[in-house]
Amino acid sequence: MRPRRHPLLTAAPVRLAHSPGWLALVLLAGSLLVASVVAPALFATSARTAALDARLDAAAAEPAPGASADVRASWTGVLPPTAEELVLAELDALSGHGPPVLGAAATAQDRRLRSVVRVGGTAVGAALFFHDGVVEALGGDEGERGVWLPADVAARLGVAPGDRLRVGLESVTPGSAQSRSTPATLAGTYETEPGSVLPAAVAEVPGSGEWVLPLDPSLPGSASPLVITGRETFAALARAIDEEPLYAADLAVAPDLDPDGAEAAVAELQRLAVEAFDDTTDLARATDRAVPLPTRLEVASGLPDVVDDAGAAAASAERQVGPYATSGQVLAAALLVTAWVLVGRSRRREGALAAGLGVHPAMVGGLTVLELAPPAVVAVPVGTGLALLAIAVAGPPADLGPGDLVAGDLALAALGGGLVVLLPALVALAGAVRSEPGTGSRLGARVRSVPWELLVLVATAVVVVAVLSLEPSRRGGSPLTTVLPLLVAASAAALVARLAPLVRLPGARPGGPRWLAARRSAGAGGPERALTAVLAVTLGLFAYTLAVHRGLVDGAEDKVAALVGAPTAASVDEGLRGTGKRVLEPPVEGSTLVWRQRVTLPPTFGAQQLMTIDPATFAAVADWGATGTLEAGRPLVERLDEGDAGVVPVLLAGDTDREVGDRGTLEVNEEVALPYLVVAVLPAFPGSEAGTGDAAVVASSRRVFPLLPPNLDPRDPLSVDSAGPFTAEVWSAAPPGDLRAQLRSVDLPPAEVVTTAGAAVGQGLVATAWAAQYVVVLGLVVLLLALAVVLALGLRLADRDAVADVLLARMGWRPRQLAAARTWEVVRAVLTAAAATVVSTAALLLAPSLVDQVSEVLPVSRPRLGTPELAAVVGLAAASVGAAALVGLVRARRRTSAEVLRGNG
Amino acid sequence: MATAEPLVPSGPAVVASDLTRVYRSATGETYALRGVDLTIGGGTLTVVAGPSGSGKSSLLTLVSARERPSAGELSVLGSDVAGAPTPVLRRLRHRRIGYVPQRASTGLFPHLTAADHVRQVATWRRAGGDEVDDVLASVGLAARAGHRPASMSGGEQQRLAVAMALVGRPSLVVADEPTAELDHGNADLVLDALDGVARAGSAVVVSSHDARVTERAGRLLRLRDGVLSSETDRARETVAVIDSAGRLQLPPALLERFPSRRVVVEADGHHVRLRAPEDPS
Repeated sequence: MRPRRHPLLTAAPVRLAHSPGWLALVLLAGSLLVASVVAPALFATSARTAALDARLDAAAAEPAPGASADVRASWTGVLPPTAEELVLAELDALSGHGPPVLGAAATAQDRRLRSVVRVGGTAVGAALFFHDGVVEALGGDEGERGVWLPADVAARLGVAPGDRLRVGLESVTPGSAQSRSTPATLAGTYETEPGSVLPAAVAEVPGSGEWVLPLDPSLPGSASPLVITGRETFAALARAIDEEPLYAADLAVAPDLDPDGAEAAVAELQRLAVEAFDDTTDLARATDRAVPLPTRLEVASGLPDVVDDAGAAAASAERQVGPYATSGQVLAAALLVTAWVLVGRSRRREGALAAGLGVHPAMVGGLTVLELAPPAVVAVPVGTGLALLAIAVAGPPADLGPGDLVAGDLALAALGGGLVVLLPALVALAGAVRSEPGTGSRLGARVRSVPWELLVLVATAVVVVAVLSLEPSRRGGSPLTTVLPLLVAASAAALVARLAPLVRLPGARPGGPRWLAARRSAGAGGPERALTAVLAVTLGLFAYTLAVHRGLVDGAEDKVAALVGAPTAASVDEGLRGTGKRVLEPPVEGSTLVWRQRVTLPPTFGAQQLMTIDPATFAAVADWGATGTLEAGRPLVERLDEGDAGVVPVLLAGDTDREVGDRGTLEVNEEVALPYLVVAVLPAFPGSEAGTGDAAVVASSRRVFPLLPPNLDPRDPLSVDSAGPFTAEVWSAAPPGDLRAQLRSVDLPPAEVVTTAGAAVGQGLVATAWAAQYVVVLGLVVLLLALAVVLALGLRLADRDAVADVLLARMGWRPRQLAAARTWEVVRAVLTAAAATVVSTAALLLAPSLVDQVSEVLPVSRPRLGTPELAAVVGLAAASVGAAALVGLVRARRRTSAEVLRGNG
Repeated sequence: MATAEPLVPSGPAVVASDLTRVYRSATGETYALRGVDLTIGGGTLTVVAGPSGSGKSSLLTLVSARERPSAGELSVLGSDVAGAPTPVLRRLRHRRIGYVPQRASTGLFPHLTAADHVRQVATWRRAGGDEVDDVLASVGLAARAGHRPASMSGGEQQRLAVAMALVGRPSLVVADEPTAELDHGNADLVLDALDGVARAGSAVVVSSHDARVTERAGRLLRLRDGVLSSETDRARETVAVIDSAGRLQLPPALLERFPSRRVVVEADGHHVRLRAPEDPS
């Protein structure tokens, strides 16, 4: 075999294979770095998908056309078959939706006419109707030229299937308009669903509640009995009686719609809406051919709003995750750099040999590139897989797999792989340059030691001042805020490490392991102190990530509770008014009534929201959040009904400078002044953030309404105030569909139903939960860093004491005692780190919150520590002691005294 | 051995004047070398001897252009070590200086075989491929050429470091205690190889307190407390060294004659006489 000319170069790619330990560490660090680079993009993809899914789910609770993500395209008049085909083809071509399902109903467009079906001299009000699939559901054939009547209508007309009848429009009053009718054959009859005009056979068809039905002019708001036909028959009959029916084509949103598909669908919808009114397009020309009058296609869909909301939620998620993503990248890079510094330290003498041989630093860097190329090639897929796994497990709830990786993700993975090579190469280059003979050895050059502790303390102070000078709403996204926890942890570590030598291990008997550990600790060198400090920082950061996670998750629940007030809130606006009785009871069981109005609290200018509640039912229905911040308001609710009748006790929620006991007058609509007494001031209250940014004034309806004039008092059935009436909300713990049905059953259809899930999407709070999960992943990376530091500490102590241990063993010390002494040293180091963790965590918990990125919604989210978090930190500290002691023991047992004394140990 | 001719310097390989090396630490400064004057030419095996801490390693580190002097002048193969740009010194070490560090066994590349170590250096010094085998054979490692350091003994690793320093016939070979970990037979092998290089024209500087090494020195320099105290040439004539500042270091035996550490210097014709002040003239 021909000898290699440059063995260093040719052997470099397999070099790490000779050191499995270092290879594993570098692979781990490299994979984490790649994962940290790829993860933000995958998170963004996942967040977009999850936000869209969440918003689509929320929209599904609003089945009304224009609110849900389904599309309804409508036009009036009858289109010729070719024109109708063209319109339906255009609709069918819309992406992201199912095929169009067509329906139509007679409209009796002239108020002087009504739709009837007549047999001889008997006429019964009934209107033409068709919907794809209904005739088949009735047992007929779509092509069958006949009509189906409700069984009761057929009975009243005295007709049976096969009989002839006339369908048409008839003057409401004799001679008011020209009646017209056309003959038809009764194809069959059907039973109607109780309480509905629809056939019982189709009443349960999904979406049938939103079908276009003909209105009954004799009963406003009610549908007319249906004369059901097939599509062609409907068109023929409508043309024959000169009817101008309303056609509606419904397209259900695709169940697997992804963000890109949704955006494409919105773009196509917008294009279609524009083309419908552009006379030069085939679509507009087709609808021009409608009879009796030309028409235009109108497209309604909530999908654009859904996509906008989802996009905003995803953008919010990316913004909230940004600082943590950056921190993750910095940590992963630090782990890799640290790993390579350790590798470099293990090759220190080899580096001296290379410098002595005049190896150029660039070649040292190049050798590192060659050495790390294979691990980087492995780290790219492993890191990408880790990122996918982390996002799948702890990210937004979207199914993300390798198939979802796009070119951008792969490019980022490649970039991460490049960094895996580049960062260690720079470390090696810097080390080689430092090994070069310099000019610092000339006489006169001074030895400078860097005062790291002082620098860290000063930097922390500067950053604290800078962060506090930022507006609270901007703190969350600031890079300074990102770095502050690290600096606080480092400062605490520096302070505690400085004070730690003053503390003596208790019960240290001279000549025992603890005594030896104490003496060794007192003389500990820079590396031991540095490792203890790094352990303190990592432990502190780990505790902080746990606190941030809990704070964000619980804080988001508080904010949602403050936004919505209850699991489900249905707004009935001004649809609810009393009957004149003294008390307005909740309209449905298990609900409470909340009224809103704008008020002014002089001398403060500007309106604030007044929220009047029913204390008797409020506490049981309201959502009191998770942290206890809102819960503080629960026992205060009853106090809103106490006190003098002429003074309204109020609870203020939000930013206010008023205090408990303050009195004044609040002006309702600038026309009524009500004396009030502040009985409580809270950061937030259920529903207080509906008007985000204002302090809410919470009072009892029973105390406010009696003081209002009749035109404002909602108990008065005729109360209408042009300047702004009280609006009502019904809060309930029932699911939105149930509450909607309950309210409809009491003739109180809600204008809008808000759920906690929907509000979380709309305000970006759902993204907060995802960002919190990202913090957990970050905590795991910190955890790995902490364990790596602990292992390094264990090895360092074992190596430092190698010679001394041999000599002590010859003096009669048993291996068990020497291991115990090392363990006590580790215990001391970990206790020092734990003390620093307590200091830094306490400082970060007590300081103004830095983690709230949705600060416009109160209450402010703060890091919080609970029992599980404390148990995790204590567990990590205990595991650290065990791991360091174990690795030190193994290291010490593996070498012989001869090796140690020869210098190879 | 190979046929390649050494890059013999036209003048002295090393010229030092008032060479000073100071190590600084947080607790103060330590003078390792104090005003050493020295000239080393090619074709000689120069041995630097002295007790531990006398400054041998510091002197060899400077002479091999691995560090710069704190003060004084040092010219190595024509380059001013104190003032030359770093790339110049790097090229010097890369191509023209062979160096064997103390405890060289810990500084080898663990993933390369013995032959690869030597071949890599040979490539840098543009030596022929057959020279690799010759050098390995000269230090008794021909049979271990395919082994990695981990499977070699400490002595074999030390000899490998010597082979790396010798390959390519550098103009200057500097070896810091190259026989410290070797038995007699292998030490002789190494010394033969070093001697051979010196005879071929290279300047060879070796530090040692091993009597076998000092006996074979063409020139023996003794260092004490960072000062060059005496020099012995091949004719075994030992002379004391007066540095460029006029300082002279007396051997300990003579120093006892001056208990007050004061001396009267008297010139008498062709002689200079040293007398304790308390002694009668």
